[in-house]
Amino acid sequence: MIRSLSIGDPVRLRGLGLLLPTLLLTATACSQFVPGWGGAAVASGTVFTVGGNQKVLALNASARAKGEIFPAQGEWQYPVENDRKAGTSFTPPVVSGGMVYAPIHQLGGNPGGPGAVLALDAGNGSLRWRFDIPSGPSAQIVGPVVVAGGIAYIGASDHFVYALDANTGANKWQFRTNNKIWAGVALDGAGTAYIASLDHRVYAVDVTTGKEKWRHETGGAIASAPLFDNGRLYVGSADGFLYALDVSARSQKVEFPARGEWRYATGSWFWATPLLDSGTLYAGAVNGEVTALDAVTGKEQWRSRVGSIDAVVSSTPVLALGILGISARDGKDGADGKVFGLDVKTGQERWRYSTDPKGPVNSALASDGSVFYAYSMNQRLVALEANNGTSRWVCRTDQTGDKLCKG
Amino acid sequence: MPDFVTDIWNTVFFNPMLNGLVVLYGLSFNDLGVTIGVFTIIIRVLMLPLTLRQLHSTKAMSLMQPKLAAMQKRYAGDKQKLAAEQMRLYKEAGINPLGCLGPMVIQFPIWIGLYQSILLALASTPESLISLSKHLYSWLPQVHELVPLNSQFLWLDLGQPDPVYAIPILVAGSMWVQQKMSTTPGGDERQVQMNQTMQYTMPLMFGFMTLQFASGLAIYWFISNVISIVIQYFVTGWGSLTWFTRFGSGRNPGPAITGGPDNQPPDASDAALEGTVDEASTQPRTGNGKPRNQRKDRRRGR
Repeated sequence: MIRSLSIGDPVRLRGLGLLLPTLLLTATACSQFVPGWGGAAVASGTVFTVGGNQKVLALNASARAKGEIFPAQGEWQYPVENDRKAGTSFTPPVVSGGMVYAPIHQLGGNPGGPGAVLALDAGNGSLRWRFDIPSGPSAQIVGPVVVAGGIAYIGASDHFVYALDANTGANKWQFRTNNKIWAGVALDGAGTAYIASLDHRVYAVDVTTGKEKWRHETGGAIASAPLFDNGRLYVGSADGFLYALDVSARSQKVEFPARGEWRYATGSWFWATPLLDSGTLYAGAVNGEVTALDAVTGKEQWRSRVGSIDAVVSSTPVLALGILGISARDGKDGADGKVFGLDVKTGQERWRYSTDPKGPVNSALASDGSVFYAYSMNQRLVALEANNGTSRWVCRTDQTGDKLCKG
Repeated sequence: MPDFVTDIWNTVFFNPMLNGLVVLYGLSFNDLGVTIGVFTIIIRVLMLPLTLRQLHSTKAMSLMQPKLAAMQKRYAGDKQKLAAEQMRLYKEAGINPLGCLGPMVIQFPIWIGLYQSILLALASTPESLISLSKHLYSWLPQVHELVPLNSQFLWLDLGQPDPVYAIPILVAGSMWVQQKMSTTPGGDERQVQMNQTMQYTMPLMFGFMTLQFASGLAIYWFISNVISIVIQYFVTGWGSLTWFTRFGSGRNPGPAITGGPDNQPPDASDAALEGTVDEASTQPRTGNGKPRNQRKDRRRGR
């Protein structure tokens, strides 16, 4: 030891001191692949997924329940070849007008690659069009595609929202904010789109021209889409507040809170768009709390914690059979995927489902009215009975060929 | 990694660093490049006593090289005796041979913490933004309002590698200068060779790795290297950077440390080595290990 030190010039010792941490850092830096959260959507008995397997899948729910070999009737995958990849995704696909719109975080799954929207035929999975976010190091997509009135809206990390022709993918207009847009667009059905940005603001934009009508600034980044209902916007922010904004008051730039406006504090970030049902808002927060609020007054009806102190809720709840279904990640490392069924009236936990093997569930559940579909980051799609959380079937989407959904 | 280790790391080191960085960002006009610069200077100022101690220790060891070489020659067949004699020599000179590792060891968690902080605070993915929410202090609402940090600085996205490779070149170049200045003139050929290898390997390795890393961390390395060069210059001069000394633009690379037990040059007439140290081995050496006077003589045509 001493001899080695004696011939060990300080330069060499310093080299050793530099080498070890540097190798560790390099190992960290080299693993930049972003797997994405994935997600599922259901329409007419078919479950559409996009996720870590970097493919868009159409799965026949009844064929999956019977354990039939993929592809059963109505099932497909895009791209077709096993060695080709569409890319990862952070949000579920959207089904509209016989098309499936899949937001791809990084095309081809390459770190730093641009995001893209894939528009596929819902019946056979053929590609109708693809829109690549104009290239750049920050052109990824995180939020969902929103389709309405023949326009597909998509926000990107390059600070823009793009309004695309839903049939052709042609870019009609684009609107720029001052930071990444990870949220979906909300529409009022009367010519205004509401865009939330990580720049802390909500923008009201004319859907025909893409021109700004007004903006409102909150105290923190906004990562989730606003919810529009009856002249009000409900939006959660990283400043720890869920806001109810009166669009008329905001357009007149009246000081917040105007009459009928309120904000509710939870002490944690609101990440997901709230769910509105029968005058009650249901919202999950990053600290693992789910809250039910009176939509008009903002008065708390109940508040419930799901999972442990480490649990994170980053998705919109879904409602079926009187059960509020909500997904979460739990555990110190966030690797435990959980789905909770809460009593919609009291917030009490009725059941919980844990992914096995571990895989966080970050995206919103899909629901067909009696079954919840959860897509976990370990690429499992599970169908759960809404009333008791029993697993109907599990599909391993990380498998390929006729082994897909098996194992 | 066990949970309790993660908890300790987060509570004691990472969370204060992350929240401090975000607060500093707010005080630095919401400019992350400026924030990293200020942060680096603060860290280096805090580490200054340790750095100075390291430099003094390195310098003292360099002056000891002739003696160590002579010892190795004299006790070539008796490793135990050699080890004991070397230890005695270090002790007499008040040198800790591992002293130069101190600043490195301290910087290790800073690198890791800064790397994690930058990536987390920039929130380039939803994963990192959600994770960030768990690490920011709930009692400090200002930090929640500042995220995500603006990653643009000059032509750089600080969360991504430099696309034009300027920062990797600056990191490699500054590291080479620093290594060159701090290199101890070697005692034997093998040592000289190893030193020279290190002088090129480390800058190249860091330059290469900077190609992969978030440029924010590379900026930390570059500024840190520049600060090291300045400190090194005031303590030891240009060292083995013979280009500067040859053209008279720098300080003399010879011993710049005087007084104090830590800095006392070993006496070449030490009784234990009497008769084993030749004149040349006690002279200050150049970067290639040759006695400086011989080189001067050659230049004068003697």
